[in-house]
Amino acid sequence: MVDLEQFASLVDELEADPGSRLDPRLRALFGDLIDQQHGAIGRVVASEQEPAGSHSFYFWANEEQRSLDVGHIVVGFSEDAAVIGVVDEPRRYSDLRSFLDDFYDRQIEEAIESQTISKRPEILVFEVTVLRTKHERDDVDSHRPVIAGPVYYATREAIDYALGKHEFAGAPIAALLHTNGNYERDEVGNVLVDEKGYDVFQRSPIWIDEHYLLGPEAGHANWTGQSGLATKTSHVQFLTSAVFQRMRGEGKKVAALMFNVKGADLIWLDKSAVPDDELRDAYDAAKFKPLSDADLEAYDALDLEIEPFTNLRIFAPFKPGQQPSTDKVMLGSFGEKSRLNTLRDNPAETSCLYPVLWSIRPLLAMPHKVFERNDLDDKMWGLISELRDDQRITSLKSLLKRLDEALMEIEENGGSEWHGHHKFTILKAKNRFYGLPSKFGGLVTEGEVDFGNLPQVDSSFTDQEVRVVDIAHCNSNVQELLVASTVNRLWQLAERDELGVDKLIIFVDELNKYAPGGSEGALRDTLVDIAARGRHLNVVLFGAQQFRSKVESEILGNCGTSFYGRIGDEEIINSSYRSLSETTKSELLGLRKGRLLIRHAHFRSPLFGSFPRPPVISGSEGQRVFNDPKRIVGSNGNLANAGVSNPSDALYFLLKRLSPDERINRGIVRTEAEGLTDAQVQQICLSVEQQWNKIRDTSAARRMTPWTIIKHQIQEAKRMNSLG
Amino acid sequence: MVTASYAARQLAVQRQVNRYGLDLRVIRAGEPLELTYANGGAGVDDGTSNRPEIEWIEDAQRVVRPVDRTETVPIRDFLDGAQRTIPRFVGTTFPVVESICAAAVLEREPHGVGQVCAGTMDFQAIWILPHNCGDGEIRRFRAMLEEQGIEIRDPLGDAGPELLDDYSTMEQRIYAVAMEARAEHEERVYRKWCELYGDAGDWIVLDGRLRSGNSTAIGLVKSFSRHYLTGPSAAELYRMPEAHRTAAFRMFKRAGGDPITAWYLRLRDASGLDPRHGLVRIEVSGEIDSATEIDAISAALLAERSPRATGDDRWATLLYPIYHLEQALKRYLDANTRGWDAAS
Repeated sequence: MVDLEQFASLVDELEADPGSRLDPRLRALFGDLIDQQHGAIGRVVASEQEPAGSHSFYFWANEEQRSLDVGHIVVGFSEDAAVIGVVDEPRRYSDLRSFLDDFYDRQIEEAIESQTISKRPEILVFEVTVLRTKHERDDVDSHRPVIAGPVYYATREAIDYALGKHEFAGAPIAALLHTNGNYERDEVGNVLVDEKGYDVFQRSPIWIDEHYLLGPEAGHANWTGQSGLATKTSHVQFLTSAVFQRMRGEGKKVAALMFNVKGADLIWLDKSAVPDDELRDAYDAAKFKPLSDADLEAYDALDLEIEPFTNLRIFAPFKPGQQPSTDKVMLGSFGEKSRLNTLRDNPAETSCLYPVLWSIRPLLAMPHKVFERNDLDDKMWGLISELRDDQRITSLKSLLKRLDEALMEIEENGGSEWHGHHKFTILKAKNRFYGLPSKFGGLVTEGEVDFGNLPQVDSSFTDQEVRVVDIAHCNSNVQELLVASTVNRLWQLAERDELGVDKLIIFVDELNKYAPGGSEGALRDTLVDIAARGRHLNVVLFGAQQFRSKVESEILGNCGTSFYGRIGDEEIINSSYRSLSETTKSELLGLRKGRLLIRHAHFRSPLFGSFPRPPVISGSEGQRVFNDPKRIVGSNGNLANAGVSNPSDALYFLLKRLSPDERINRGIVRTEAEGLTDAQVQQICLSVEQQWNKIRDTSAARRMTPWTIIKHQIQEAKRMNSLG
Repeated sequence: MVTASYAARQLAVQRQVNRYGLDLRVIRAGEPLELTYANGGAGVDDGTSNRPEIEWIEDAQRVVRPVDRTETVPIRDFLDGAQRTIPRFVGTTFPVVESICAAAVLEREPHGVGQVCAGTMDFQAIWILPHNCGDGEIRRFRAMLEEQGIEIRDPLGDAGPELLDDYSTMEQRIYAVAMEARAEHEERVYRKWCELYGDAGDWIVLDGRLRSGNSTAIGLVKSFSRHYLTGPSAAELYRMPEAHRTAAFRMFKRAGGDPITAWYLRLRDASGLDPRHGLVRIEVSGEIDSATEIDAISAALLAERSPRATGDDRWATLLYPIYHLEQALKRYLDANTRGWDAAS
C-alpha cells in the first residue's frame, strides 16, 4: 500500500507550486536567474513527437499564470545548467478528437444543458525558443536540452545574461524595453501597484552592444514596417538619443546625419517632448499629447533622460525659383531663410537653418546623375568632359556663355564643328544645361556660389550634432542628387578621417528607394560600401524602409541589428522573413505602435520589446507649436496671442545650441533684444555663429562665450539704430 | 514514492526468482486479461449466479416514466479504478497472473475541471495462483512471494483441483478474482474518501455497483449481463426513451445485507441502436425511496451527459469525469509498469 499521507502532501505541494521540486543544487546555483517569489509557472514537457532540443522546448503553463504570454522570458533547467528562452507559440489542448464532437455533444441530443457541469481539462502548452544557457561552469558552453521540471519567469539578471550583456565588447545601449509576466516587488516582497491599481510587471532594458551597433565588431541598424504604423522614425529618434547619451557618458564624440523625406518629421528634433514651464501653455494650446506616465517610467527604467537634440542643424535647398541667381552668390551673409524649402520657416526658429545651393561645377562631375540616359551619348560625354576641364567655367552662366561662343565660332568659321564637337551636340548640350535650374529646382543656381563661413551640408561634424537635410518638398531629382552627393562626400571625409567625431550615424529613410535590391547606381554602391566597410571607418548606416524584401541584400546582410514593426501580409510572405517563426510573423501582422521586434548580433532569437515616445516633439506637433502663424508673435512684442516664440527667440535657440549649459533664460534674451527688427536678429544670429565657430577651439573661447558675443552684437545693433 | 517502491519490489521479485534458480516458463508479451473479458465476461456484473428478488418501491404498473428534472442533487466526486491483469508465467496447465490496480476519487472543482482528490489515489498489486498444485516450480515461486510479503490470491477457492487442468476456466476464474480484488480496492479507497471528505455532504458517483450503504453514494452500472426486470417490464425497459427511467425497486444483494434502491435510466436516445445503448442501472442506499429524490439523482446524472467522453467507445454510458479519472489512472499504471513485457 502506498503511504497516503506522503502522497497527499506531495500532491498539495505540487498544486501549490509546480516548481517546488526544483533540485536544491540548481536552486542554489541559479537562484538569481529565476523569480522565486513568483514561483514556478509551469513544467517542461517533452514527448516522442515534440522533444526538448538545444534550441527549443515546451512547457505547460499553470492555470493561474494568466499574465504569461508570447514574448516573455522564462527559465528551465538541464542537468547542470539554466536554460533561458523566450516564449513563442502557445497551443491549448483538450481531449476533444474533432470539432464535430463538440457540435454533436450539444446539438444532436435533446435538451443538453448549455452550461455543462464538467469541463474538459485543457492545458496551455508554450514553445520556448532558447536564448542562452548558463552552465554551472563558466568554461562550458552547454547545449543540452532542458529536462522535465519546473519553469520560472526570468529575472533581470537572467534577461541580461540571455542577451549576452556579459559578453558585450562596448557599452550597453538601451534599444527597447522588455516586459515580462512577473511583477515588480518592494523590499519586503509585496507586488508594486501602479496608479490605476494594476500590478506592475517586471521591465528590463533590451541592451545592444555599442561595438555591434556602431562598430567596429559589427554595425548598422535597419528598421522595417508599414508607413505610419511601424513607428520606425520614432524609434530611430529614440535610439539615436540613447546612443548620444551613452556615448556622452563614455566620453566619445558622435553625430548623426538624417534626411527628412516626409513632411516635418525630422525638423523639430531640438524641441523636447516635455515642455518647460514657459512653453507648457503653448504645447497645450496646440493640443500636444504629453508623454504618458508609462513613457516617463520607461525612460526611468531604461536609465535615459528625455532630452532633445539641442545641437541641430537643418540644411535645405531653396524653394524652386527662389534660389539666388546673381553671377556670384555670396551666402556668407545669407539671412532670407524664408526662401529655403522647408516647413520650418518661423523666423524665431531658423537660426539652425542653412542653405544648400550648387553651382554648375559639382554637376559637371556627375553627368550620369544630371542628364537622362538617352541624352548621354559619347558625343555629349566628350563635350561635358571638355567643359569640366575648363577652369574658367565656374557657373552655369559662364558655361552657357562658353557654348554660345563655340556656336558663334562655328558660325564665323563656316564649319560644323568646334574642338571636334559637332554643332548639333553643342546645341543639345546648351538646351539641356539651360534647363538644369528648372530640373533641379531650388538646388542649382546659374551663378557661382561662395559659402563664406557658413556651415555646409558636407562639412565635418561637431560632437552630439544632428544634421538634417530637408528634402521633403524637393522633387525626386533633387532628392536623389542631394542624398547621393551628401553621402558620397561624407564617405570621402570618413576615408580621410576628417569626420570631426568618433562615430557618425547616417539615417536614410526609404532605403528601398535609394538602394533597391539588384539595382545599379552610385548611391546604391556607396550605401553598400558603407554597409560593408563603414564600421571600420566610423560611419554606420541606420536605414529604414517599408519593404525589407526590396532592399539590397548586401546592405541588410551587413546590419548587426534589425528592427521590425508592423508588416503587411503581402510583404511578410517574402523570403526576407523566413527565419521568423509563424507566431512571430502573425504577431508582426498586428503589432501595435510603440512595439518592435529586434534581432541583434548577440541574440540567438529575436525579441519583442516596446519603447516610449521619442524625447522630442513630433514633426506635426512641432509645426503646430512652433510654426503656426497664428501663434507667432510679431517683433512688436505683442504676446496677447498666447505666442510661443518671438523673433528674438532665434537668439535664445542659437545660444542653447552653441552653449547648452548656459543658464540664460528666454525672457532675458527677449528683454536684451527688445526693439531689434527681424532682419537684425537674423543678421546677429548669422554673425554670432560664424564668430563663435572661428574661436570655439581657440584660447579666445576662454574669454568669450556665445552669450557675450550675442550681447555685444545686440548692443552694436542698438547703437546703429540710435544713430538712425 | 509510489513508483519507486513498486518498481523496487518488482526488481526484488525478479532477483529472487534468479537467486532461487526457479525454472519458470515466462509468458513474454502476454495480453492483459481485460482485453478478453472487459466487455461483459463472467463475473463482470454481480459475480453471482442467482438473481436477487426485487420489491417495487414505485408503481409497477407504470414501469417507464420521464425524469422530472426540476431538481438535482449536487454531485461533486467520482470514484473509479483501473486494472491490468497480466499472465506472467505458465504453471502445468494454468496461467500465473499478476494483477495491478489503481483507484482514486476525482473531485470536480467549482470551475468544472476535475482533479484527483488529495490522499485518495491508491495502488494495489497482487499475484493470483493456486495454493495447491502439482507444479513444484510454482509452489516454490509461491513460497518465495510469501517470503516477500506479497499478497497472493487463490483462484480455485472452494473448487476442486480438477479445474487446474482447464486452462480457459482457470483464466476466467483468475479474472473474476482480479475483478473482486479491484472492487475491494475501490471499496478501500471509497472508505478513505469517506474518512477524509465524507462530512462535506457531497454526492459521489461510484463506477460500478454499490457495495456498501451510504446515503450520498450513487452506484452507476454501465454494463450488465443480466437484468433485474423480466417479462413485460423488461420489454418496456428496452423501449424506454431518452431521459426516462424505470420505477425504482429495492433489492438485497446479500442475505442480511443492507437494502439497495435501484432503477434503470436511459441517458441517450437508442432509436435504431442496440436497446442497451445509453442504458445504465443506478444503485443507491435503501434509505432513498421517494420519487423526488430518485428523480433528482436521475436528473443530476442526465446533466452529466455533456461533455461526452468521445475518446472512449463506451461514451454513451461513460460519464466524462469518470473517463477523465480513468485516463489519469491508466497513465498512472503505464508509468508504474513501464518496461514490463506485457503491460502496455
